[in-house]
Formats: sequence, structure tokens, C-alpha cells
Amino acid sequence: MLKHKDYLCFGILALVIVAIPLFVESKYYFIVLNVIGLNTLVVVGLNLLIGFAGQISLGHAAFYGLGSYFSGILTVNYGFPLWPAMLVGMLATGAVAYLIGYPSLKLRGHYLVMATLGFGIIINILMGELEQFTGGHDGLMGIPPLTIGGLAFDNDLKNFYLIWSFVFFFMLAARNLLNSRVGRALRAINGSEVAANSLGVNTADYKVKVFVLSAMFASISGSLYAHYITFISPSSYDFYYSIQVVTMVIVGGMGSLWGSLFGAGILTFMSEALHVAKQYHIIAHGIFLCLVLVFLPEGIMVGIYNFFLKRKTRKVIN
Amino acid sequence: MDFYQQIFQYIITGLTIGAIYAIVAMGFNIIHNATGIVNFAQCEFISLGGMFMYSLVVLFKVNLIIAFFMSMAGVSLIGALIEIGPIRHARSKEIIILIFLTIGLSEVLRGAAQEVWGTDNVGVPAFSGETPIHLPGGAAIVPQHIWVFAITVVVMLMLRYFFKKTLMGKAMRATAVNRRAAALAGISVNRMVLFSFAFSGALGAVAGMIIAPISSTSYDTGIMLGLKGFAAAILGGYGNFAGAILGGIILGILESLGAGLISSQYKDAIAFFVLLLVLFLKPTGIMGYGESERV
Amino acid sequence: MNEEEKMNRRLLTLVVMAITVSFMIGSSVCYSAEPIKIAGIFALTGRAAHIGTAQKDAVLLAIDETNKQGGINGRMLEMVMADTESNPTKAVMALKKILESENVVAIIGPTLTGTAMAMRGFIEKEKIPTFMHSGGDVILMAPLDKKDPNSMPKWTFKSPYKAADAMGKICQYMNKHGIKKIGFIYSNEGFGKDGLRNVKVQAPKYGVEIVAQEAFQPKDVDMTAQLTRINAKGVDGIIAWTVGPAMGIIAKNVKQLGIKAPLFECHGAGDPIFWKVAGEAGEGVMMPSTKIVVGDQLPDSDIQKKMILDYVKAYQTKFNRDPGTMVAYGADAAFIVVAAIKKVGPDRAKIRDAIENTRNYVGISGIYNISPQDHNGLSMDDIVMIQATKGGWKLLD
Repeated sequence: MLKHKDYLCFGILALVIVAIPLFVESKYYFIVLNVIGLNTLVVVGLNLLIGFAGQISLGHAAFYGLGSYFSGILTVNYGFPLWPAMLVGMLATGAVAYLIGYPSLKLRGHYLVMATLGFGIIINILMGELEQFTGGHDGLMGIPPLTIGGLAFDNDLKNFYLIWSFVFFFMLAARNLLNSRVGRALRAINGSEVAANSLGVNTADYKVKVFVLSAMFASISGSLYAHYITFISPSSYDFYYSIQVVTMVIVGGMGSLWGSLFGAGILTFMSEALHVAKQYHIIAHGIFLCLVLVFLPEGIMVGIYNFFLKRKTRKVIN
Repeated sequence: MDFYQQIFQYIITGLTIGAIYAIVAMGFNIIHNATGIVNFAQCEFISLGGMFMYSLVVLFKVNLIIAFFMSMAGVSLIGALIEIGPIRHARSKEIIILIFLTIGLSEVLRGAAQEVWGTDNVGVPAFSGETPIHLPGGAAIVPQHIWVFAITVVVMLMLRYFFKKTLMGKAMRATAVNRRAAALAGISVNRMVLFSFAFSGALGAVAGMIIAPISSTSYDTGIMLGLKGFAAAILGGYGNFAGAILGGIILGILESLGAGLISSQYKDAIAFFVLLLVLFLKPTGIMGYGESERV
Repeated sequence: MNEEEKMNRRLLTLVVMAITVSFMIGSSVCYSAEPIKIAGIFALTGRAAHIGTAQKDAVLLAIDETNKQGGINGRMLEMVMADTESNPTKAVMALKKILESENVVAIIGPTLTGTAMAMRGFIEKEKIPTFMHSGGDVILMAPLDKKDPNSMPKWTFKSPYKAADAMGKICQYMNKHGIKKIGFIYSNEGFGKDGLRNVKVQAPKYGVEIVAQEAFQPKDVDMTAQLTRINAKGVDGIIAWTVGPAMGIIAKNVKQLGIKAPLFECHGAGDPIFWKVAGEAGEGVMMPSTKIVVGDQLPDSDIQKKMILDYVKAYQTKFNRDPGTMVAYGADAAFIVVAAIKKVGPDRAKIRDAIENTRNYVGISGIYNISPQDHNGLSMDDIVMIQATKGGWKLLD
């Protein structure tokens, strides 16, 4: 169930999604917006794991990639129908996440960091090695665009609507989840695992489930990416990507659903916009990150919110 | 070369690279013990160590030994600056925030290194030449490998002496065990954290410098080495020094044997897979203790 | 938190927002077009940065030289650059950004084969002539549509000769010099694996047998394990297929292990960086290469000699270092595109046609004979075998 402010926020999001194509014509901006959408989908799922359940994963590129590769391999090599392939991909990725998550989530702190880093690397290696299926390091090409009826999502504008519809619905689903018993259980685990356990919350169970869920979010996003760009290769799914998405969770604000959207948006945008700085863009990007993490660690969303809130408070006091 | 000679070669190679991982792992451990975080800027410390060495020895023709220590000092300074500036002043002390702060800092350092030195790989002269040495048993090494072993042993002994016998070392250990109690005992926790970063910088630089003549160096050589050094630290038990050495050696030999005996394509996958297995069986690494939390 | 700290925090939030907004505005500013614009899309950061920046330099020099001689019919050439960050997604974004915001008549680049393959589909759709200098043969060989094996790229061209031909050159040399059994060690990514596929085809053609094959990761620091295995099989020669620091590490490892069999490396090794990473151990290593690194050793009767020497001199003057073999690809890509524009003016379709009909073009990498069936235009005759010696290169016959 949604609260009042949720209706407002989602209403605005829907409006913005419909309105943007009226104002934006540049295909370049569309592709940036689309990548933002794809990233948001991954980041929302990841935030459930990191922000709400208090775990960490530095290997989520693997799930994003598995979504892409399952969709790609099934449709290109085996002629699977497109939408079922995405569904199969999501379930298969979920299964992999369960197999990895079950033993991993017993680990704590830095050990969990290493375990997730480790499996991310292993899966990335497999993408390059299992050439028969994946096309190896040369990548997999000729992935067909998604279609509904006769309509093929084969350009930037159409993919904009497709991707952002997915983002809308998945964010809605996440919001519902968070407002429910499950959401409260997750928050309890984040607060104190021991306390949650003693109150009867099956923490191990929840942790694995949320891990699997976040993997499935990433998988769907990966499938959408594959059908959009029509070419995938292992180099897109390395640990740099894993680090990028976790950074988006943090910058947007851990535990803030809308923060995920803004985190993905701002960081993806910055990464592109900073090309203005030419070869200094890596330093500029790093400095931006440091500034945010040092001064606005609750995330930009909360930081901005506090900024305006503090102003109101001062006015009241004065 | 017969089978046993091959195995011997693999083991020697594995030990060499394992020694490097061990040094890097120790750098990670020092900072973990003092602050509880993972310092991903360690990767840049390694690259910078090698690059400073390159500039000093090749471009400025400084004497090798002097360049070695100058380079250590330089990277130590950078480590200290990172701590005194961004890390100490970070508004949030949450571990995940600080970890990603080190990732951001590592980007800044890497971007700066790219600006200063460009993207090319550069070579650093070996400390005492490159004439191969043929060992009894059939394996071959170059003098630089001996330097790697020797320096690693010296570093380990010095660290052990430092932490066990000197006052500062004991103070750092105290801070690692319980910050508040250490502060109450009159130890300046801030200073201990500062030193831990400086130390870590020095260690990273050493690792980068001793391997540079073997593998050449560049603005981003440290990333893979840093990652594997971290893996070695975790494997051995995060925060544990004997663990760092053990973890480094095991990881190095695993990689080498994996490449030589099983498959050179899957070498990294094998090494990480074994790491994961170990973690699943013993969640705190080989020699790690359980981490207790306040509830 | 006291008053002052609150103030500082607020100021900083404002600053961060201001920077963000100004970048948003700044990045949407369009440039107006008067000079003729060519897009240069390279890997300027990321794992292929050292190759990308070298090629960017090569292309920029070629464009500079053209402008010095008066440009094209009085109009200067301007290169608009973008960075693929060695990442296929970013490459596509960079491509779209340039196509949107600039009126470019042709594209030169990118660097990595993965980024090239990602961009290829969009380039063909957008119908903009693109001269690539990435190494992968798959760029021209793989059909655009898997179901139609005849759907070859029309707008995509490539300046480096086929990696298959480079491999063939090595095997031909081996055959001439009595090397029968070899070991093949390769970098476990696109380029290296491509080499593996090629050597399996080329070696048998020249009577060479591959008795050992080993892989390593591009960032590995020691290959003695793999080389030990290869040596144990009693080989007469070793081919190492990789670029980057591994080139040097393998040369050093070979010397360390006392392996007597001659070492051959790939067609990207003929570059000053080889000596930087290999040091003395590089002595004697052989490789296929473009003629750019041995320009002064060419016989005077070689029609490429003058062009090569002129370009090398300009390169040395501007960058204060010697060019490597891959510089030739960047230079040729630029020169051929420029020649096409000179002939037909700034029209994308006409430029494409002109490029496709470039016959007997004397380039630095070789004599180009581009045709609708062959968008590369080089052959094995354009490749030479060289040997690394005393910090430089010797032309082998």
C-alpha cells in the first residue's frame, strides 16, 4: 500500500516520463536518459540490499551481465522468444544469486565484500571463456530488439518509454515492498541483526531473499540493455561497474528509494558531462565523489532535503 | 625439464608473487586494524611507488638506494595527506562511506598520475642486474626475485619488531583493539590513525618498487595487485599479520600452480574460487578471529 | 554542529549543485561549423589508454600536416574528439553525442575492437563513413545481420592489415628458417584469442606445428609457469600474442628461464614501449610490423620510403619520441579520409564512395587497394619482419 506522498511522487515521475520526449529531441540525451534508467533499475534493487538490509555487494555487475547474456544467448543462439527469454534470464540469475548468496551472506563485513568481489570476477571471467555460448571476448552481437505486437523497440525514443516504464513499475514494487512487513523486517535487520533475530525475524532467510531480489532487478535491467544496444561483451560487466552502482546507491542516499533514482541520474550524468574537462575527467569525477562522500554522506537527496529543512528551522527560530 | 622441475619452477614463481601480495596485504591490515576500513587507495600507493622510482632513477638519475627511500617517503606523505584531509574530516564515520571515499581518492590519485606520467608503461632498472640464476632443482630466477624475498623478510621482521617492542607500535595495537580505552590511556588516536596511513603508503610503495623491474610499471599497475593483496589479507584472516604472509604465499602459489597444472585461462577464476571456498568453510579467513559486535 | 559549520555545509551544497548545473548547461552548447569537422573517437582513458592516446596523436599530426599545407580548398580541418573510456557502452554514447552536437563528415577510430563492434551497428544506420584503426578482423568479417551472411558493413573501413596476415608472415618466416614446432602463448582477451584462432589456421599452411598453447591474464606480472610448460614440450620457436606490459614480461621470462628457442611477438610490438618494458631482454625478439619503424633501412626504390621518412620526422619533431608501428594505422586512416574529402568535398555519402575506391594509395602501413569487397585494402606484402636490436629495429629479409 502506498502512502499519500508516494502517490504524489510517483505521479510526478509518470508525468516527467511522458513529458520529457516533448522537450528533448537529441538522440544523445535519450541515450543518456536510457542509461540512467537502466542504472536506476539496478541501483534500486541494490539499495534494497545495501540501504535497507544493510549488506553489501561489490559483484552486482555479474547479475547485470547474466541478465544480458541469458537474454542474448537464448534469443540469438537458440531463437527463444524475447519476453520469455527475459523471464527465464531473471529466474536463472535469481537461482545463481541464491546459490552464491546462501553461503556468502553468512559472512560479515569485509569478508562479504571480498566474497562478492570474488564471484563478480569469476562470472566475468566465465563470460569471456565460455566462447561457444557467449561469443567470448569478441562479444555477442545481433541481439534483436524487443517487440510488442508489431511494434519493435529499435530506437532511442522507443527504448526510453520501454526502459522508464520498467523503472516506474519496479520502483512502485519496491515501494510497496518497503511499506510492508518485509520492508519493516529489512529495516530491523539493518538496525541490529541480533535484535531482529531475537524478535523472531529470520534474518538469514531475509538476507538471502533480498539478495536474490536485487539480483533479479539487475538481471531485468541487463536484458533491457542487451535488446537496446544489440551488442554485449564481457568488458561492460567488470568490477568497475559493480563499484559504480554501489557508488550510486551511496551518493543517492542509502535507504532512500528516490535517492536511488537521483544517485543513478547524477552520477551517470556527471560521468558524461565531465567529458568537457577532457582528460581531467577522471580527476574531476574523483573529486566530485570525494566531496559528496565527505560533506554529504547521507546522500545528495537527504543532503538537499536537510539543506532546505535547516533553513526553515532557522527561520522559525529567528 | 621434467615434471618435478616444472613444479619447482611454479612454486618459486608463486612464492615471489606471493611475497608481493603479502606486503600489500600487510598494508591493508594496518589500516584495517587502526580504522576498520578497507583502503582501496592502497592500489594507487603501489602504482605511485613504482612511478616515483621510475622518475627518480630513470629521469633524474638519482642513486637507486636513495630513490628507494625517497619514494617510500613520498608515498607515505601522500597516505598521510589522505588521512589528514578527506578521511579525518569526513562527516560520517560509517565504514561503507569511508571505503568508498578511499575509492574516490584512488580515482583522484590515478587521474593525477595519468596527467603527470601519461598512460605508457615504463621500465625500472633491476636492483642488481638481470642475469638469470639457475637453481639446483631446475628452476631459474633473476636477481630481482631474491631482492623481493629479501626485502619482504626484512619488512616482516621490522614490522614484527615495531609492533611488539616499540612504544609506538604497542600504542597502535592498543588503538586497534579498543579506541576508547587507548584514548583514555593517553594515546592520541588521531595520530595513530595518521601513522597507519603513512605506514600503509610506505608498504604499498615498497611492493610497487620491488616488482617494477620485473613487470614494468604504469599509472594503474596497482589495481590488480591491490585487489589480490586484499584477497590475500582476507584469505589469511583480515587484520592478522601472520595471516597476511600465509594468505599471500597461498594465493601466489595457487595462481602459479593453477596456471601451470590446470589451465592458464582460468587461473584467476581458480584462485578466487578457492578463496570463496575457504571463506565459506571458515568465514573469518584462515587465521582470523571472529569479529565481535556490540549489540 | 555549530553555526559556522552549518554555513559551510550549505555553501558546499550550493557549490556542488552549481557545478552540476553549469556542466549540464555547458555540455549542451553547440559549436557552429565553419572548418570541416572530422570526429576522432579514441580510448583516451581506461585500459587501452596508452594505445588510444598514441593513435590520437598520430591522427592529430596527420591533420596538422594537412592544415599546414593549406587545408582542403582553403578550409581548415578540425578534429572533434571523444573518449570511449575503453568501454563499449561509453563508446556508443560518445558516438551519439558527437553525431548530435557536431556536423562531422567522417569518423576516425575507435581503438578497441569491442568498442568498434558496439559502434558498428549505429554507424551503419547513421550512414557516416568511419575509418577504424582497431585491430580485430571481425570488424570487417562479421556480417551485420547474423541471418544474412552477405550483409557486410558499407560505411566501416579499417586501416590495420589483417591480423591473420601478420600471423601468416611470422609462419612464413618460420618456414623459411626451419622452425617446425612452436608454442603459442596469448593474452586471455579479444586480441590474444583472435591470435589463437589465426595461428591455428596459418601455421599448418606453412608447415608449422603448434605443440603447446598457453594463456595469461593481461595484467599478470609473471609468465614463467606457462613458458616452462611450453619449453618442456621441446619447441623450436615461441609466439607471444599480446600488447602492453606483458610483451616485455614474456621477453624477460624467456631470458630468465634460459629458453633458447627464438621468440616472436605480435605486430603491435614494434614500438618504443617494447624496449621500455623489456629492457635488455628484448634483444633478438622478432615481429611483423609496418615499415614505419625501419623507414631508413628501406631500399630507395621503395615508393613508401619518402612518405614514411617525412611523417616520422614530423612525428619526432612534434612529440619528441619515435613512432611505433601502430602510429601508421592512425596516420593512414586520417590521410585516406582527408584524401577522400579533398576529392569530393564534405559530403558523407560521396566520401564513403571515394574511400571505397581508393586504389594504389601509397600509405605508411602499405599500399591500399580498397574495394567494395575489401574495406581494408592491405595485403601480406605490406608487412615486414623486423628484429629488436640495440634499442632499435632491424629490417629482416
